[in-house]
Amino acid sequence: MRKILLVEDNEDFQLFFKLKFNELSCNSKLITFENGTSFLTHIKEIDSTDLPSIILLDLDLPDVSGFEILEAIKINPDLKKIPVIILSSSESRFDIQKSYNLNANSYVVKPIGLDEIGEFITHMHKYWVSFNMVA
Amino acid sequence: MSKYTQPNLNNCEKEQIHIIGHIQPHGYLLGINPNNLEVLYVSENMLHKLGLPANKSQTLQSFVSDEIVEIINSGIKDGDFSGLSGNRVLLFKEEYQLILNKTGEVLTLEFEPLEKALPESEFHSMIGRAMAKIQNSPNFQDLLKQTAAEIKAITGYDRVMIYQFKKNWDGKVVAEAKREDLESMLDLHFPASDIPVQARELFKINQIRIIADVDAKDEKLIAFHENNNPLDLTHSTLRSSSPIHLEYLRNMGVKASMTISIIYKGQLWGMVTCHHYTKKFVNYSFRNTCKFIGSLFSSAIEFKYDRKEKELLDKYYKNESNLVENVIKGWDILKGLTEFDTKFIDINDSHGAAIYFEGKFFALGAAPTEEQTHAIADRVREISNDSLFISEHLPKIHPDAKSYSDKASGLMMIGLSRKMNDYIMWFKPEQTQTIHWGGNPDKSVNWDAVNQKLNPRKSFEKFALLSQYTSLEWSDGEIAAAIKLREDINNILINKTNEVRALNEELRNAYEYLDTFSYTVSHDLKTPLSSIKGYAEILVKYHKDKIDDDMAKFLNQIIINTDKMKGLIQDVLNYSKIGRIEKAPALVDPEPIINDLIENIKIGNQNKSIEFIVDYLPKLQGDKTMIYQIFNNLMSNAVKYSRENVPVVVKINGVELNGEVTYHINDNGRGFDMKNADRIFELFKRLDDVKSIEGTGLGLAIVKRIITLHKGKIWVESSIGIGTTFSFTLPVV
Repeated sequence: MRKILLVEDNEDFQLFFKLKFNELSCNSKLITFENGTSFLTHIKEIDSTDLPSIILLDLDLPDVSGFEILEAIKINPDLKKIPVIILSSSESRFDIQKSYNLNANSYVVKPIGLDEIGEFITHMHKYWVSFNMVA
Repeated sequence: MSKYTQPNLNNCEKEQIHIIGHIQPHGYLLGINPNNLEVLYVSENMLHKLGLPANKSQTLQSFVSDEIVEIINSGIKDGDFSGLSGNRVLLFKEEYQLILNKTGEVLTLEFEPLEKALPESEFHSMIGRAMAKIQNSPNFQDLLKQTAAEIKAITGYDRVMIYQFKKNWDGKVVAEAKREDLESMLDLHFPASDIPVQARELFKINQIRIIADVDAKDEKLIAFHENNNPLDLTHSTLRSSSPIHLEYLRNMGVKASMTISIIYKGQLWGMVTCHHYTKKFVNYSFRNTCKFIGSLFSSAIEFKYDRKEKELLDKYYKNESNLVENVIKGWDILKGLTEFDTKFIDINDSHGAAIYFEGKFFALGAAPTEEQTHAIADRVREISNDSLFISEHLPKIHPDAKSYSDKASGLMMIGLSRKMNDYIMWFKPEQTQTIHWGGNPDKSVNWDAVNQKLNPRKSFEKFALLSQYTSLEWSDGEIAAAIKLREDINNILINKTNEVRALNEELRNAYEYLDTFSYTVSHDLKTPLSSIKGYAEILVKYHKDKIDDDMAKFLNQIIINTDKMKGLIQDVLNYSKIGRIEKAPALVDPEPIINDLIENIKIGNQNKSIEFIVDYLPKLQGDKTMIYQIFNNLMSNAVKYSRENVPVVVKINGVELNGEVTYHINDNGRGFDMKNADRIFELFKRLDDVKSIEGTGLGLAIVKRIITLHKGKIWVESSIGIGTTFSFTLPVV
């Protein structure tokens, strides 16, 4: 089963996301992390034959910044192939620019409300998970 | 003593008159080594008088009395001879005055006849009288006249003239006191070659010179050691004059002369020249008195002559600082120099002026055309690398200028950039005037081919010459003011570069600030909003069975309002991106925007009594969000900066005219000092007196930015305690 990792400290957003994710029954497994440290520990011990299909990453985390995590993924030869979508409430050009400079695969401004979240999950799934990874 | 050579045409300016090797025969000279009193040089007349041989060195004692040796020894002991000159001593049984000078390693003893003895007190009263007359002279002309008259009275010369040098060292007789029967030489001009440069240098050092008899046969100086250098007579009082100069005097009919240098600010300003038509000697004490009067005169120039100059200079400087102030006001060189009451033509006595700066040309008064001015600039660049160029006869160096010599015979030019590509020029018109020369100035010295020597001119008949293509001189004050302007403008240009840099810095900081701002707004507002909306939706969608109709209605209201707020946040984010986004301008009806804002403002300021009076509201062309922002900021400000306990009245009114829509937003608030009118639109600039009222300093900056982006204008009128009216115009295409 495909794995999707979500790094997001906001419990509300996590809850909405999980709710919508399950509702849309994407045939994928969602693993969530509430902070950067736990995520970094996880990817250190990751099995390279069983990599996640996609990583959804918030920039504003309480311990480690999203940029640092992004960088850690993209300089790791085993992990750098995994698509990383930045999911941030920031519309700052600076943040967007910096994310792409650090080789983020996409930057999406955080959807607001269940409908928008559902839309995002559907599209992400269609493009990044099913289409991209199958190919 | 062969180093002095007769001058010829090639070296007339190099004639080394300080080592001329002769003295005038009315006195005696000894040159001694002050360490051992050995005599190194002697004038031939002294050897003859004593019957001593010219080939054998002698001690000082063989020439002079013990009394004189005593004076010398006391000078050696003190290491100072300056106070010993003028002592009356006996030589060959007659009274002489001893004059001592030390030049290099040689001490020169000169003996001059006493001729006429006066008690010291007489000299004091002469000086006292002269001082009174000089100090009381009411003006410069009178000062000149009094000085000449005093010197004539003291010395008894037939003619005493004051001669003033011009910048090119031509001279003019500016005052004269003379025997009545003589023809006046007042106002006559003399060419610079009459007093060549090396003579002028000597006049600066040895400030009084006398020629007792132009026809007297000079006495040779004998050097006892063959390898001795010729004796340096720079400080000598008996030194012979250049044969050319003697002939010059003879040609004028002058038999004896005395000259006093007028040194002013370290420069040779002029000379007092005394002529006598029979031979005449004036002794050391009288000469010293005259020299003192000369220095009194020099210092008087500062008070009389200079005061006039100084007043002018003050005026020029004052105008110059006005110009600089005006330039700084707008950081605009061209505007500052040309558009205010004081213009760049006002810092001198020019009749026309032109400026060429950053590709723009501007002329004032009687100036050549732009093409002619550029041609002048090209010519100046050809001949000079300096950033200051001055000419009183432009047509002579730039023949094209002959056709407009009535405007530009005189030129002063300053460079405002390297290589004078940008410049200011001032012009003076041709000053056709007849100058009377003392003899033909072009033939002041003639080459005598037969005798292979130079001859000074024979005729000093008044010689009238019309000066053509020549303007009045540029005075020191005019030049000083021009240089000051050049320096100040250069400083401004440097600062202007810095100012632009600072503005860019400020702008970059502002962008950074706006980025942070947009992040803060988007993150900190959107995140909780997202939670509110999400939970409301969960309740509506997944817990339908547990809520009644009323609750469902309320939850829907929550969701609708979070959407509204989401839209508002989006707008705020958009404002922060003004200038970066491009939208096709559309016609916007401001009425719903204004009504919406009135409601919001009233809700947000329920503690205030607010009345909006809305008049005609024509449509505007532009970005709707941005137009909303303009009204939002101006209307909120009108309410925010109200006076305490005064009901707020805000009037909004639009006018449509000639493809432009103008809106006025008027309030009855606290107002501000109009001297800050420009500052209030600057980013993050908040006036001091409103610091207590919450604000970011962004509001008006954003408004101005939006309006500028829409090619519109915004301005403000305000009175403290009465109110403020903001007006803006947006074009309608």
